[in-house]
Parts: sequence; C-alpha cells; structure tokens
Amino acid sequence: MRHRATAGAAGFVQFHAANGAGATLNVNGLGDIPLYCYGGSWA
Amino acid sequence: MPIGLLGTNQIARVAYNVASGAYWLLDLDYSSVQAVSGVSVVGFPDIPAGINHLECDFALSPSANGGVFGLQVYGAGGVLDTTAANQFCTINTGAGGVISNTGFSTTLPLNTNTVDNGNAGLKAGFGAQNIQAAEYTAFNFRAAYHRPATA
Repeated sequence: MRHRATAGAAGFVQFHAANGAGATLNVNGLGDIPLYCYGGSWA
Repeated sequence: MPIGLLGTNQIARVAYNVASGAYWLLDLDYSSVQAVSGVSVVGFPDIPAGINHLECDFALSPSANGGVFGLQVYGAGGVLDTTAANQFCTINTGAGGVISNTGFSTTLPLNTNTVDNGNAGLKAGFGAQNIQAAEYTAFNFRAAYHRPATA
C-alpha cells in the first residue's frame, strides 16, 4: 500500500509473521496502526 | 484481533478506516490458530461481543502423567471465574436423564488423569453456544484419548 489516509482505500499486504494479540500494521514507516478483523464488530 | 488469524507470509486485503484509526482486515472469517509447545495455558483473549458460538479443536501431548486438563472462562466483567461452585460437569446416561455434579476447584476439568509416555495424548474439542447470554457458559466436550506414534 502506498498510503493510508484515504478512508476505504484497500490494498494487499503480505505479513512477515503470524500475528499475536494486539496486532498492528506499519505501512511506509507511518507507524504502528491497529489491525482489526470482523467478529460481529471491528476489533 | 484473534491470535494466529494471519500466518507467516500470508497475503490479505486490508482497508484503512479513518473513524477507528485502524486497518480493517477484509475477506477473512474470525478464527484463531495457535501452535504452541511447552506451555501450561492457551488463551483466546478479546473475543468480540458479536461472537455468539465457539468451536475449538486441538491435539496435545501432556508433559506429565496425572495432570488435570481443564477449561476456564472469563465472566462479563473480564474476571477469570475460579469459583468452585460455578464449575459443573453433566452427563446424560440415556436412562435416568442428566446427572450433574459440582465441587471442582478452580477449573472445569475436561480430563483429570492425563497420560504422558510419548505415545499418548489427546485429540479433542469442544463447542459452546450462545456465550454472550447472561447464563452459565456450557461446553460440549468430546475426545479421543490417544495419539499413537504409528498408525
């Protein structure tokens, strides 16, 4: 992904490791951003 | 997000949600996959309020004989329930209805006499339905009590 600031902008990401609790995603060095999945709500 | 939903080098589609300040992981069902070794506890933290039914399957090898393999749950207040009076096991004999007992200590025992000799283990699982209701959480447990070294 080239940016993150646009709502709904989607892209594909390859994850370097299996996720633990409280997973985050850091795109283009913009910092650790929480990563949510849907289980009745986004969390 | 559940532990182990994503594996190493997995590719997935995400979208950034401004309101929550988070990436949303798309196209994947809610699931937690964990491969652990040498641990005494496996946890499934932060199950969202939108999850009402659970299915859990596992295979394990105990490290010692005679251990208690049990199950514990957190209540609505986020506190681990270790009250002995809250741990019940029931069995349906098919003849006289359901037999219930209580008096277990801090955990719901699924197997109270585990066997370790390098050849034996447990392939088992449980289901739990309607877990968000303000009721006792009920688990339906099933097990095959061996893991032979050879077929």
